[in-house]
Amino acid sequence: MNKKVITIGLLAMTALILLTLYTFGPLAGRGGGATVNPVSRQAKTEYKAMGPGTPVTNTYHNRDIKENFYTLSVPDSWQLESSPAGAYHFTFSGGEGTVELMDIPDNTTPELLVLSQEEPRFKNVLPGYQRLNYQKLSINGNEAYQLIYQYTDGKKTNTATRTTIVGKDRAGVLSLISEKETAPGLQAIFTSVLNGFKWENQ
Amino acid sequence: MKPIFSIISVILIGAGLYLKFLYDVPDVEETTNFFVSGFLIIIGIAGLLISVFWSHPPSTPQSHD
Repeated sequence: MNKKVITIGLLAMTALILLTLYTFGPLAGRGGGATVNPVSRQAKTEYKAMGPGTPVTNTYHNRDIKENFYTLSVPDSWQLESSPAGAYHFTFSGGEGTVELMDIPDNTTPELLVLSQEEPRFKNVLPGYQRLNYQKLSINGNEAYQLIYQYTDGKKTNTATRTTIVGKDRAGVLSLISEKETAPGLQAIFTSVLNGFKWENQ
Repeated sequence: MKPIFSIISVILIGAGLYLKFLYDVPDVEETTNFFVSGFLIIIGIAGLLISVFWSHPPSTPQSHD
């Protein structure tokens, strides 16, 4: 065994130790993982009506996850709450809205995922779950799957519109929840929010 | 023996690069994928370099009686 081989062996062992420390040890979390890009939280305000009584729009450009940059427009009356990387959580009078990125495994399709995994999970978790509608859509040229359902939360009944929009790596999932009574009045705004969702790098 | 060692090393590097860049990793398995792909690439590169630089001791001529 010559000196070069010994050096290569030592370098390989050092690299493996560093890899282990980077993955599981004290250095873990410095290299990978999605973090919130400050740009994603900056809203651009425009005077653009999204529905009755919502003359001003806030537009967000999410730049948290490299392959899934997207643009989202919501009424400026929606309050942005604390949200993880790649996601937004809004509250507004009579309801709440969430936008998040979801991984679609290779061994399934988005539609199959919605119908065979997500919906059964809702049935188990949400009391009084009832499907109101399911449809396939096209949103800005991207295939999308929309599930509308209602469930009971204490004494009140909520209506939820959950739309899964297929993207390059992950899918965008827009969940818009409101009380059953206010849902019809918010429908136009929900539709505007959905149509305002655009992938930026496709 | 040396060619087999080199081929195995190249296969390890290829497997590591596949896991790193082409395999669709579920969100919860990203840490495992980072470690396994890095491990395969490091071992593969080290194995390839060792097979290149490995020098055999000069063989002693055998006398035939």
